[in-house]
Amino acid sequence: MVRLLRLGTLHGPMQQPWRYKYLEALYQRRLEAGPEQPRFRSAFTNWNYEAELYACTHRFGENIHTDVLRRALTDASFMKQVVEQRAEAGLDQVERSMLPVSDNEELARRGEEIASHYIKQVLRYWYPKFPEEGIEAVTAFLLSETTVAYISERLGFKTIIRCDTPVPRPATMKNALMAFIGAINESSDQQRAEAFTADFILTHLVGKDINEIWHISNPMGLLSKILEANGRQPAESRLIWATGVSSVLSTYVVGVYSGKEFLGKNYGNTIALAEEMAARDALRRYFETSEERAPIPFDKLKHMNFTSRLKP
Amino acid sequence: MNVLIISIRSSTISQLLKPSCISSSLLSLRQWHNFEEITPAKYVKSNLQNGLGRYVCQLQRLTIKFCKEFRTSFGVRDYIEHDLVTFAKKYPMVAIYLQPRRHRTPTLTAEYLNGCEQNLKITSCSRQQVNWWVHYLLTQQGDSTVRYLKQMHSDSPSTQGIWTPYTNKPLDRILRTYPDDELREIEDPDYLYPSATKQIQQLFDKQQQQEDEEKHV
Repeated sequence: MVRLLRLGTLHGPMQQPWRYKYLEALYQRRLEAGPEQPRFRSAFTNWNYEAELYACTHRFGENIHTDVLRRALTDASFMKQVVEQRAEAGLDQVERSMLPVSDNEELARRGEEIASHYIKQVLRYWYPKFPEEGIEAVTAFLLSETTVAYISERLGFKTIIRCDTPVPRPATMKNALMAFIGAINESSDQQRAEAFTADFILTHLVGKDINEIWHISNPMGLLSKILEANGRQPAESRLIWATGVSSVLSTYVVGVYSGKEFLGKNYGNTIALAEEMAARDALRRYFETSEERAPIPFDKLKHMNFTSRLKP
Repeated sequence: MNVLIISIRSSTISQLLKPSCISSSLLSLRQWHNFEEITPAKYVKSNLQNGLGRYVCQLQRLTIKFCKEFRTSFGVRDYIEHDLVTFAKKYPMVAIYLQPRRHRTPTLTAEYLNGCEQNLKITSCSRQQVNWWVHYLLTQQGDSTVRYLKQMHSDSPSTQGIWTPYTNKPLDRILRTYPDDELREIEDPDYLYPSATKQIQQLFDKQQQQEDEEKHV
């Protein structure tokens, strides 16, 4: 804007025409060059991997040995790349495979085992009536590649992972975080690894509804099964209210009852929809996972003993 | 951001007003109504529910760029000489780098866990001021500071529940015999116990009727 306004004046870009043309040319060349290619963070001058590893252990208040942490942050793709480079350099088979560090596959597997076990324990403890299938689904969501890669990126692992691409793949990001949990387990103990899981992975549930994470395809069928198993009367849907039946904004309220006992109710634009939603509401009430349920007490998890109230 | 759209129906004028020919007065036409429309804004959000489980310092690495000769870096040099080692020992979670750059302005470059980077020029700052700026960067989350939006939130949703067309309606209407006066009263509050206005209207109507009847008779 300023440039346009001052174009014909003494103070504008035409004051020094050669400079104006020179900068224009530079600008055009920059546009032609296109966007900058992503680079490894380690390619920059201000990079000291030892210092980064030291900072990484202290960031989370963990006491991990540097060698274990180095192993946890080394991806399989990096090792593969090193072997290829050695082959190109003309080293023989024995020298190629003699590497000072191994990759993080083993640690990642152990870390995922611990995290999965712990998350299931907490969910079973806090939602004792929630079925096992649902707990499996929520655990799978929390340990999915998308979720864990997001958490891993936001915890600063993106730059300190050693892998073959400047921008790590989601699978690499996930492996690094899981291997970090494994490394805590190896250096300290399992309690600390579990506390890390609680603080960074389980807190991803904040603001999310676990009923939506576990999608039930046929809620009425499940409700009937549960009632049958408990020896109660079969579920029966009854229309409670209806408004604007002949209009576009029709609303039906359907309640689900077992005999004279109220199970749940919900709204819908059609009766079928309202019935399905009512069945979902009944299930929520039965599982005790409705919206007004207190959230998981993240600050008290480390003092809890889950083994005493475990399901058989 | 808003895009300046000029629609002129006449073909001759539109040929004249090609983008290169638009005068500055036309460009300065304001297409937005209030300042909030075009300024960036966001909700207050911490990185990954930081502090819910444990607090993690968000500053990942700090690069101090300074000159060894110029007067503008004197405070930075002082800070590095006297305070930096203490700082590094106190905050081991931050990776610190020193980059001497000849004859440039001293800069603090902070990289954060969420991938953001902040650059701060600290020309001619004293040792204490440098210390302040370093702690300013240390206690940041790293995201740009823009206008914050309010996010209405309630830990305990309304006990009564939100209003629906069925709120405070009787639930025993299936068991009643119709016509039911009480239900009628809900639909038409003046039905059982009419208001004073309604009573006067009714009296007036009755009077009119009587007068009509008398006329006919």
